[in-house]
Amino acid sequence: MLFSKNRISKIISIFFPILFLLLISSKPIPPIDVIIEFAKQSSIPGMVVVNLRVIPLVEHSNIDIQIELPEKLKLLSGTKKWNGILEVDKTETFQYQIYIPDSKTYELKAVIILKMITGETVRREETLEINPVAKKNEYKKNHIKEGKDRGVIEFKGE
Amino acid sequence: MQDARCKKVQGSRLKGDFFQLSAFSFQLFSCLLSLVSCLFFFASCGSGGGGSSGSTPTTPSSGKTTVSGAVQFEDRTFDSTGFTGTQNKAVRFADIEIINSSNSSVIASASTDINGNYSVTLSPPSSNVYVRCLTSTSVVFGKGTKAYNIEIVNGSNSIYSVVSDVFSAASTGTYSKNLNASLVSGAGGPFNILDTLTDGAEFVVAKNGSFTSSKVKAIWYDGNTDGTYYSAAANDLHFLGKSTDSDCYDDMVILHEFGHWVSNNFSKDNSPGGTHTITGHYDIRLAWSEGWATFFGSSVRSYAGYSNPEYYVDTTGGSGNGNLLFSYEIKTPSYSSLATGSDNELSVSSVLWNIFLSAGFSGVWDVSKNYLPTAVEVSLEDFWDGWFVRGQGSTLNPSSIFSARSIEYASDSYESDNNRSQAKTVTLGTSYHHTYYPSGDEDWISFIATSGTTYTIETLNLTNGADTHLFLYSTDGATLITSNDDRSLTGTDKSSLITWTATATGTYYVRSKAYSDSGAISTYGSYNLRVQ
Repeated sequence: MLFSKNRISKIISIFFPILFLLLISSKPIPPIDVIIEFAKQSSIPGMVVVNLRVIPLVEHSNIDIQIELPEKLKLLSGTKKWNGILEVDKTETFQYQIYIPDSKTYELKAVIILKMITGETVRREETLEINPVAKKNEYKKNHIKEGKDRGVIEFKGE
Repeated sequence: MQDARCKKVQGSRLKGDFFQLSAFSFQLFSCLLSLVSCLFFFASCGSGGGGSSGSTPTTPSSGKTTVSGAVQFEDRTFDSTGFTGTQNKAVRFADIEIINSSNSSVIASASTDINGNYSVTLSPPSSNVYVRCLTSTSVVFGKGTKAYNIEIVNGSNSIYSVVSDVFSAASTGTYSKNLNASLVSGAGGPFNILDTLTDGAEFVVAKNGSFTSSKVKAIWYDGNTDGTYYSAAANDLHFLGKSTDSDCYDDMVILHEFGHWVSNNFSKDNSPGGTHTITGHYDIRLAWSEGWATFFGSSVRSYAGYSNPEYYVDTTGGSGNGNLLFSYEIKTPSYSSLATGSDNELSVSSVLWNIFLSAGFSGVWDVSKNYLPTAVEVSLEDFWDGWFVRGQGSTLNPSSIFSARSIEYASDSYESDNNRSQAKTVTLGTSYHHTYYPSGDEDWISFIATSGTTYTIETLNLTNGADTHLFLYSTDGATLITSNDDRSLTGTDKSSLITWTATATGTYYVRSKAYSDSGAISTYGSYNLRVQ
């Protein structure tokens, strides 16, 4: 066993430069990771495919998944409500085919509630914006390059 | 100053005037004409620089040309449910520049004060200028021991700013130029990061007496999917700008990452890094690093006077109220049954926060700054040791705070069992709860084995970073039969397992100790020991 740890140390020393780059401290994350996105480039209006990826990171006794659609959107395939147990640290993908009738802005919301084996629950909501309103950028004035390596982004502030 | 300008214009415009007026009428007429001429003159000056305003000093005075005003940004307030509204806040200690609009050169600089006010003297006066407030505090740096250098940039290392319209400050007097970094413009976010890091730096200065010459550099931009993290290699902070998760207004997220920065620049951090959930149990160095970072963020917000500083709040960054991604409390920790041990970051945060509530920040800072850098592998174990080494134990005995989170830095009930002669005889099939404490502690047991019978000797339910190492000795208590460190050569299970068949009937001995050879991380730890 001692040999095993020494071997690990050697491996670490060999790959230390790579590992060093990986030594970053990321922000805390909740016990369940959720990502909702279009499965591929979609033409709107029309039928789109949306993937909801759920990754439970802790042991749990149940997960509730619910999709909330605006009234005008039609769910062509996929289950609006699901509950059960998923494998920890494994990604489970739920796929939905949705018909979007026009080019207005809509929000597709996924609500996920994970119940831990200790009885505590974690609620996550993730929203996918469909045809999001373009961000106003008229306030952005310009981007100036000054001297050596110094750039300044100027926003109108008056 | 106004008079001087009038005279200049009078001289150029009134020559050859044919009106015959009384002295009074002439003076009145000439002043009106001068006023019109002045307006014409300054309108012309501004036309090449994208429009001008403020051509007349707000406060005429003699001798100097001054540009002054206040800079604010649009802040987003929040609580544990997400965003709750907006408010304007002063942009403190930020760099102010007066720019020559014609060639973009900086012709004067200053910084805002604690209330966001600034005042810059132009010498000589200049036309075609504008005011720029940067997301940096470099002007402040170097003015005293309490100065600090913060900078918020985008992915191309460009600094953010808000600017005034172009105007002429060609006359003496004071020109007023107030600036606002609004939410909708996109400038509010980077200015909020600056404000939050300023809170953090002010806290460090207050507790440490000074800052460091190292720059606090934060990288954020709309669309950044790189992640929110602190890079020890580059000593900089990175914040997400995704449409589904932007952290520019997540003050606790910002301060959490700044907590890592502080740890690396004022203390020591051995975290192996990586993904971490708040309910997970990990390497005790990671748990310490992350637990400290959240605790530090809460401490900053407490010092700055914000309400409910014991909540970590992460939002999606979406517009409007709410938009909560997730939040948790560290005082009475959320997910309390999972927030246990020195290997859980929420547990570590809770321990530190409750020490802070009982004894203030100075003891925590003293240990962090003066003791932890001497530790080989920094974890909550070292904080515990340092608390007493640094004499903080006389202020507060934190035992109950640690035990509330099931952290057992104490001898178990079977002590003393530190050698063969003290070995406790165990009943086969029964688990015995032990701790490795104090440092170097060994737990010895004995059991009666029957020739030809196979026995399983193992450690179970390891917590608080325990890394067990088992040794089986013959009936003399000295002859080593076999040993085991980790039961599996792969994976992260640090428990031990010996499966052995007795060749002779008799009393055999088991020695249990914390793994202490190459790669050892923990000194303490809790576990169960069972023979069956």
